[in-house]
Amino acid sequence: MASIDLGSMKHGQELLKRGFATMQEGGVIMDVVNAEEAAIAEESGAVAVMALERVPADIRSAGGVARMSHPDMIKGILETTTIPVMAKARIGHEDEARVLQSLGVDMIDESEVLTPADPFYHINKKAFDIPFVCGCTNLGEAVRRISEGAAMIRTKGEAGTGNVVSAVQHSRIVTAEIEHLRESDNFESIVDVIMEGYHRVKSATSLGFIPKMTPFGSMDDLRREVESVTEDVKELGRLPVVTFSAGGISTPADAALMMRQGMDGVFVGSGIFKSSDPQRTAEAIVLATHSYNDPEAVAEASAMIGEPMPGLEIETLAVRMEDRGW
Amino acid sequence: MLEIGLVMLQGSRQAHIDAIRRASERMGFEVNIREIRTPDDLLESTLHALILPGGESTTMRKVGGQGGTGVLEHIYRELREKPNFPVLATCAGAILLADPQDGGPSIIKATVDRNGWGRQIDSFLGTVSLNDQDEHFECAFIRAPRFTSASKECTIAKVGDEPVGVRENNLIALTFHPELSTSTIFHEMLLEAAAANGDRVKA
Repeated sequence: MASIDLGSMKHGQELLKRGFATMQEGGVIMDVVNAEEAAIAEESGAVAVMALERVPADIRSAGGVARMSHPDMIKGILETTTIPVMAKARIGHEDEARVLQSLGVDMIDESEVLTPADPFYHINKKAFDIPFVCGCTNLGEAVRRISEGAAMIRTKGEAGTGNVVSAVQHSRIVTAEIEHLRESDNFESIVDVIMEGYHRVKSATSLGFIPKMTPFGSMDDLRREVESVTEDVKELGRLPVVTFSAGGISTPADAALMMRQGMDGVFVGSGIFKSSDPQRTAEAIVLATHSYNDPEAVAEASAMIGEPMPGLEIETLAVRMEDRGW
Repeated sequence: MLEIGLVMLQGSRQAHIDAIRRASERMGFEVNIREIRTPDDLLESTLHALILPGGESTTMRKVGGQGGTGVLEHIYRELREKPNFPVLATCAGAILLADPQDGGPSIIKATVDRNGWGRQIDSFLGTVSLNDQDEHFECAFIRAPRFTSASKECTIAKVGDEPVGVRENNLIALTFHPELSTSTIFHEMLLEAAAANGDRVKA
């Protein structure tokens, strides 16, 4: 069979990055900590797996600084899994991201579940050939991440809690803010507010100024990019990239709830492998995500699972991961 | 009015809806898109053509197979009974037609290697050429499958010498994503076949 010279082909373009995210639509992306769990996730119909050393619930209870996973652990999952493999880098940790790209992961999650590495800026995602997914709690964060090159957005929720309330909060806020943007005739002042997310240096520096340069180019170029993404949102009435829900989804009905709020798919972190029967829970969440509009199908899926993961009240948390990133 | 069934298992569905709309406007056809999620959706509609989008074939088999809605078995049965039925199957859709895994024979004769090019880092934009035309299209190959056997007579699209699209009767199977490109030529090809099979309505 004749062959294509891959070296002569164009890789890493925006279309390929956003296109990859499009292929995830309607799916469930599951956190896994080893090759055995990855096999269960794949067998259960996961659309991709997120390889990490500890699920968020265990990161939460372990405390300390949470970092990128060990390369051998990620390689072990890459070698045995046929569906896409994602892995997490710390917010702003460009070199963890470079390591993950060199290992061959399909997508990087610049994630608040890990401890942020840069107090001012996120990673310049356009400098990479593989796509990124980033979290958001509101429209401004989403627009900034897309302007920086994120090919996919997930609302943050509160990871490792088994409590869906923050996932709902972030989905509702993004939706309401998009509606506000569409109705508002004060586009420039909305862009001003979104740009404030890039002014964190000002309050930290002793000289009280806003730097002209950022990891994403000059502040002026960045503003033009933010304007362009905001225009896209205004025109489309939604984010211009695939948008998943994450953080606290632990039952089939939770997944259906987020899908009916207009999400394109769901991430399930601790909810599967902290439940009493991970395989059944995984299958049930996949089926409910697909048939979210059919309450009988969601009921059937809900009946499949044993005990869901134990949940946490958001008010009692020592660390709010959703507050990381800006 | 052409009734086009879009199999809604998972993946790149919205992009196909947009592409079909653009193609039908160009051709002046009236088109109604029917979302096919369950066997009832399939059995209750009179379709002129079907689209199987790209995504993850493992997920599609799960949600459309026996443990899920069971819609895939119905689709395979219909396609085996009606070998002339127009279908556009892209990426994972092509994998399902080449390897239905329901105990029955494959729907298309060409064989496919899933993720034949590698991981996302190997995804590429390839220049696709059609047999009978001078035009070229830049198309996205995203963790794309690869034909391991495709007869010369059935090959309709190539990148260099490599077959990336086959047509057997009205079954069009592509390893790339025409729905993500600006050209709607493959969707027009599907509508052409659908119109030849059913009643054509000029808008």
